[in-house]
Amino acid sequence: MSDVPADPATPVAPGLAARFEALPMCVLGALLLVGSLDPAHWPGYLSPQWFSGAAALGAGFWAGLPIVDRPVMVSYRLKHQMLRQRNTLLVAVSALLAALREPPVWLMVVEVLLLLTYLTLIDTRSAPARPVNRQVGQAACAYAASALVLLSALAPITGGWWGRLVAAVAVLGTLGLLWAALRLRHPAGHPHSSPADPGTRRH
Amino acid sequence: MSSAAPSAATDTAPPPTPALRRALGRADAPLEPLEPPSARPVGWRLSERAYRLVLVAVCALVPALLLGRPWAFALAAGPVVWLLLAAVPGARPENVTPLTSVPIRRCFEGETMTARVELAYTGSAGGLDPAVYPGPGVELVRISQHGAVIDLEFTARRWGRWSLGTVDADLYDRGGLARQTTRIDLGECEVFPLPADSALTPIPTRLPNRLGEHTSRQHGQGLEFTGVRPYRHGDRQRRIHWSSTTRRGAIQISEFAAEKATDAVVLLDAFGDVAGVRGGSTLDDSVRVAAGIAKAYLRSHDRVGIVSLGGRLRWLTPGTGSTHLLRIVESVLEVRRDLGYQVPDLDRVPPPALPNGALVYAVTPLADDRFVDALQDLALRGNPAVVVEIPAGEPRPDPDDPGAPLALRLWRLDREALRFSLTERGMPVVAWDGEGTLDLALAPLLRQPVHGRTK
Repeated sequence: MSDVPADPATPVAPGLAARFEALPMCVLGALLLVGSLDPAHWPGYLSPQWFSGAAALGAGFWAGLPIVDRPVMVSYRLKHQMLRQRNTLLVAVSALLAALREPPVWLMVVEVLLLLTYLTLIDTRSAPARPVNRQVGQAACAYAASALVLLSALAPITGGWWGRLVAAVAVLGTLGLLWAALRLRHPAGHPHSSPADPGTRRH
Repeated sequence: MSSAAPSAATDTAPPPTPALRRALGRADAPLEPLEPPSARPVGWRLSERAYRLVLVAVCALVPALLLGRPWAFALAAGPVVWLLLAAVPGARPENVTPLTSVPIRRCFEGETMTARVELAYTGSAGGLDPAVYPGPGVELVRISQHGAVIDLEFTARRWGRWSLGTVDADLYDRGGLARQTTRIDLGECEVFPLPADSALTPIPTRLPNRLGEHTSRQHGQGLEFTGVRPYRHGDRQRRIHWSSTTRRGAIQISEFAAEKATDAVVLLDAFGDVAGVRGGSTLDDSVRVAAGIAKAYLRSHDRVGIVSLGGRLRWLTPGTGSTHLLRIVESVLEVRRDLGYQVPDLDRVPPPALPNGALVYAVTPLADDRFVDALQDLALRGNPAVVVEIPAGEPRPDPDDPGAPLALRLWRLDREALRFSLTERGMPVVAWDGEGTLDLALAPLLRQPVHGRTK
């Protein structure tokens, strides 16, 4: 018996078919990078923001393509390093650019959703196979945590006496979520660590 | 690769699966033998996923704190929770021990070999990501993973003694945040050359006095009718040729040819490996011809030996039986290893390895003067010999050199003169370029027994 998940029999999809399969990821990457530039505040006329948006669209489309190769250092050249880490660079740059701005609320929600969705999908595409139920559970926790923090950040806490109440609820909610995350994180060998994983074993 | 079978295997091979391309490490490059990395990282190190989550969290948290953007904490919350959930204490596989199983390490070109790698460990693991570096003579055609067991299937592409390959197995912890690489050596394998298709067995004029399947010139107890003669005391009644007896008025006895075995020795030119007329390796074709000749003679219960002239002088005493073919092809696997300079001296070959009267097949591209000297030595010894030429490609003339066409013509004339001189010394020269069956090249030798210098 083994707790290492089996490699799913992926159908053969060479060349254009593989790129077509990865098209949603490329689109997602492009939207993520463009959204981080706060397009809601771009002027209605042709301005440098539109050019930077077009460049971000292309860069996001290129960097969004999931890397299916093994993480092996082929070369120390910057070009190879960027090729190898382009997915990581995309999400990091997107998070950095988005955090530098103050977009409207709807764009904040979209940006957080895009970031988490891209991180979830890139884990399933580029990392070795892990149990699906574990991935789904962790992704759900991540979405819940981001939603709670975003609601807390957007909550009006300076309006009056009820502001303190909202702030206290947000802090308590965050602490509760943190406690739940630590509670869900069973140590190795725990009987409820995984349905297919009875704990420490030897092959 | 000039053999038809391996090429056909390559053509009909299914396209590589994504798992196979990931294991081979080059998703867009054609499959080719890869060199394993010189050194592998030792110990645990962070995975790409861990780097990604940490970097995203930091990139969101720093501006949020410095610029006072509370909403940016939401960007960092997801990755932080992922990291918290994945960083389970003690959820790493420890004491990783690879167990390798290769049931068959010997095969012919075009055949497949399987290997199984099983990782035994204590603790729990999250994922296994193998990288395979096949040896130079084999190709990885299939990989499947079931838990901590990796099944590999290789196809032998080129004869020789090769390393089967190396596997670098990345074993992840349960959260996928750290990985450890274990290097597994799959050991060596022996790929035997695919014998050229041949069934004809030309024979020398004089056959040794052993029962076999070749019709000789001597009278004996074989099946082939050769004539009639008058009855002598002691002849068996069942051999009376009644029609001749009636016609001549005296008892006539049927005569049959004796059936004897022969000795064949393959003299292999391993001095060099040059490009053939079709771009392949002459040494590959030479070895296939040697194996094909040995297979044909062993099928008719003759004794076959081999002498390879190369960096080292190797020989195998003539023998018979089905297992002798494997001994012969195994003895030629080493000829590629030490292509050094050594003057051949057939006197160093023990007499049993080159019996008197044995039919010698010299398989050579006729590209090395040392082997031509050995052929002259062979002619002086009196062995009937046949030169099977593996044609080498012509030199490419410099288009800017006005004298190049003349030089090329001289080169061709020199080759013709060499073939003529060998034929004049009693060694017929037949050519086989790797196309078609070997029988087409050997068929002219069936017109009459190979006589050598003694007719």
